[in-house]
Amino acid sequence: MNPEQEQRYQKRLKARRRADRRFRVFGILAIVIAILFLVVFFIDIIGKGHMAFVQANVEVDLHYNKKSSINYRLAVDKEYQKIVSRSVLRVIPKRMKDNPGLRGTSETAWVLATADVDQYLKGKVSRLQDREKEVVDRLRKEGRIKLKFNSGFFTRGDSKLPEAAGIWSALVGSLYVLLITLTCSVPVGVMTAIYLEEFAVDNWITRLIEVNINNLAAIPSILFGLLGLSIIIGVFGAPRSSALVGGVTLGLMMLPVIIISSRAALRAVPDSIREGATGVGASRWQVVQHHVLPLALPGIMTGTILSLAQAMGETAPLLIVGLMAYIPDSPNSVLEGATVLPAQIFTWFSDSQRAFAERTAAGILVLLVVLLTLNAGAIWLRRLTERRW
Amino acid sequence: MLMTTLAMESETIAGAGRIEEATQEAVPAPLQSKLSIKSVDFFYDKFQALYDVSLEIPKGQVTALIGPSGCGKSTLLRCLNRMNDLVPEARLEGEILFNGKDLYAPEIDVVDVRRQIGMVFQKPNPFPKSIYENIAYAPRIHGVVRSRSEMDGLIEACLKRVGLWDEVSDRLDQPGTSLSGGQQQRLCIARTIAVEPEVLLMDEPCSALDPIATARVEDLIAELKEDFTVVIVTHNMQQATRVSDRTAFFLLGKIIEFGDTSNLFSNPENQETEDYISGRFG
Amino acid sequence: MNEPAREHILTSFEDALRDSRSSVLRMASVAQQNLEHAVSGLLTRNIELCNEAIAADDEVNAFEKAIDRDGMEILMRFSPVATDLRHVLAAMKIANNLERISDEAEGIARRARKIAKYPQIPETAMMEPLYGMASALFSDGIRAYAELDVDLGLSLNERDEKLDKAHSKTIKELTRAMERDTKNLKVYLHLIFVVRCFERIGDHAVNIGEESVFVESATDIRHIGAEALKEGALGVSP
Repeated sequence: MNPEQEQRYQKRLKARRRADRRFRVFGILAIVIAILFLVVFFIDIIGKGHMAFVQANVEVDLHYNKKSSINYRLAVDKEYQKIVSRSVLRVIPKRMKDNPGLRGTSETAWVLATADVDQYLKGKVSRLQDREKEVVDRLRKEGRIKLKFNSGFFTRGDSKLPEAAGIWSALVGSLYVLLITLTCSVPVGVMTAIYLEEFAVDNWITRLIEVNINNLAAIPSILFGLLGLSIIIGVFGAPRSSALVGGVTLGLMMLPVIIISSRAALRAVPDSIREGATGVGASRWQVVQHHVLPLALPGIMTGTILSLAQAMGETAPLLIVGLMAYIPDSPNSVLEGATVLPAQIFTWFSDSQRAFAERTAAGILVLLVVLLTLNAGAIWLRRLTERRW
Repeated sequence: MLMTTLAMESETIAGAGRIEEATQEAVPAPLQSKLSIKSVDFFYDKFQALYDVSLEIPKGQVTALIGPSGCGKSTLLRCLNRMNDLVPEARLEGEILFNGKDLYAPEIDVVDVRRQIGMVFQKPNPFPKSIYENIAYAPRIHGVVRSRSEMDGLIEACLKRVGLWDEVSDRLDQPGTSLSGGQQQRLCIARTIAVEPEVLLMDEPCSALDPIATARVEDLIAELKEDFTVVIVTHNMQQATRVSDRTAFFLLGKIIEFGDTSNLFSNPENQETEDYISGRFG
Repeated sequence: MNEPAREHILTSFEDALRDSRSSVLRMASVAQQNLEHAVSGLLTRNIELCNEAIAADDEVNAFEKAIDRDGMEILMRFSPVATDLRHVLAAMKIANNLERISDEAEGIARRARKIAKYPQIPETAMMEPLYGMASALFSDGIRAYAELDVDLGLSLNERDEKLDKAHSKTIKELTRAMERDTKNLKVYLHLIFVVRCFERIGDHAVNIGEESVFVESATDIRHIGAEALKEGALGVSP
């Protein structure tokens, strides 16, 4: 190189180094921004939601007598009538009927307070009147009213009363839907992937199928809801709002994703393994069963679990097949009406009562924990089944 | 004129049977033929990979297939145990006789073909299982071994046969992939001979190995010759001269010359063969 | 094989082969010159020429070593096969023969120096036809190698037999003359040794021819015998 070229080369070298550094800074910046969004989101959700995990409880005397069996409001003293949750009082007549020994007795018990009391104690806007506030303040001084851990949130179903509303039936609903989705989509999806990847000859029919699978994965999820509505409910007559309908609908929606991810996992198995097995005389199915599938399993499972996580968060198609019903008691079978976590969150979100706002946030937190658990499960399964080659 | 007669004379002196390229006339081979390839044309869809290839592969000898990349030698090798069946759109015309029976006849079970004609590949490809399982796999799927102790004996015998027993006998439960490249390749050979095939096909078995490992495998090939008929594809002509008894030279899907290895490398009949083996190609 | 051989892809291999071949040819010309000087020295009683031939033998020896070294280098580096391998082997063997020819030339020169100390005898002139035959064999052997002429290479053996006969005949005559002329006994003895030298040069020339045939046709024609050669056992065209 002559000196002039040398100079140009040095200049260019510097510019290249600058570009390298610049690119790294951009990358770091992008990550920082993403993390920042995430942090803001979490602070917001946790800030709003964490209060839902404690709930105001009040210690009152419950009277089991003739009056209260007719008008359950009379089971507590008059001044507490607006303070004790109706969800506690309205079951008193039934309890007396179920347990006649209770009649004529009184007991002192910690019971759920109304959402207004709860909000007042948490320092939020409350509809309590001044008189009631005085009572609450007095009770608080006496230590007869306090915020306790809200175990009911995890054990109860939905309720019109915010203080009594829980996530349990939505969780159970989601679980049922997930099970149905799994049993529908995984066997079919994996077998399809195996057939297309390992056995099918490359002709226009298989190419057509491939194109269609790829397109199906890109179809808006709401269309699957319409499909579920018209075919599964309309043609096969499955009960509306049931976990069965929701599961099959989501299963159909997940199918292309599972097929595509399973095919990718199968394709990642090196051909040398197939050749080696074929070379010692394994039949085609033996090659797949003994060699390809075990190696592709971690990939298939990861793809499946991730797509399940996606299904878990899916709302639109479920709204259409009616999985947003009001479900106070958790379903006992896949044929009963059910709701799922995201639908429950949506229901609470659209409720006008302010006390539901923190329940919405808490519901989101529960959903996030479930999704993170699923992802952690995917990683764990991957670790467990992965083999080196 | 003088040259050609001289060359023919040399053939008589060496006593070698050869196939004249021009006439495809087979001089009767002195040895019993294990595989005989008769006027084979092979197509990948519309592309013709082999043109009228005829070859007699003698029993108990090492036959090397040499030639530049894409000359069809690997394709021919894969035709011999029907590995090409896996390739869609592949088509074979002509016939390949194995012990006198047509390999491509409809009543032939391809799994059986591959048990009797085993294959070792370019890149060592042990299964991602233990050393033990690697060898046990083929006998197990073919159901030839009944008891655990019988299997143990077979595995020891196979590993000893390939000279790997002393190196791995204390770690049979470790993955086959934990071995070195040369050991892996010998494991693959052990895996193949575990079901006692009659023919061993080797597709550039040493191209991924270092010289020491290559020498070990070559030494093994010389030993295996006693029990197996070996067909080896190689790019390394020194290797062909070292390990093979007979060599076939391929060019553009045609067989150009086939004969005794020492003859082919010291005094090739065909100018194209001479150009290729002496590095004057193209 | 009539078409011109293509060049090797590896240029260094091509160059090395060409170098080894040209070394052999240059060595041959030096050896030939030595022989010529020695014989002229003998015939013209020129001690100067004899000394030259003796001195130049070192050069030939150096050539032989260099050709052997290069040949080994080629074998090691390029692992030649077929024609190339025969070329390398032939170069080394021909160099060996050339060295022996040059040794014979040196021997003739040494004896010529001694003969020059004695009075001249007429029988010295008997050396000339023998030299002519040996020299022709030698240069034809080299030509067979240079041009890869198989016919020429094959013809040398027959011509060498003529040289052998001439050699026996000359020795007989010299022995007879020695009996007659006992005072020049030493000169006759020297001349007999010179005759032996010519005979050996002929043998080496035949070897060179045989190597040339081997290079071109890959046929080993050594020790086959004149009859076989004549009968065309080697496929000489009818």
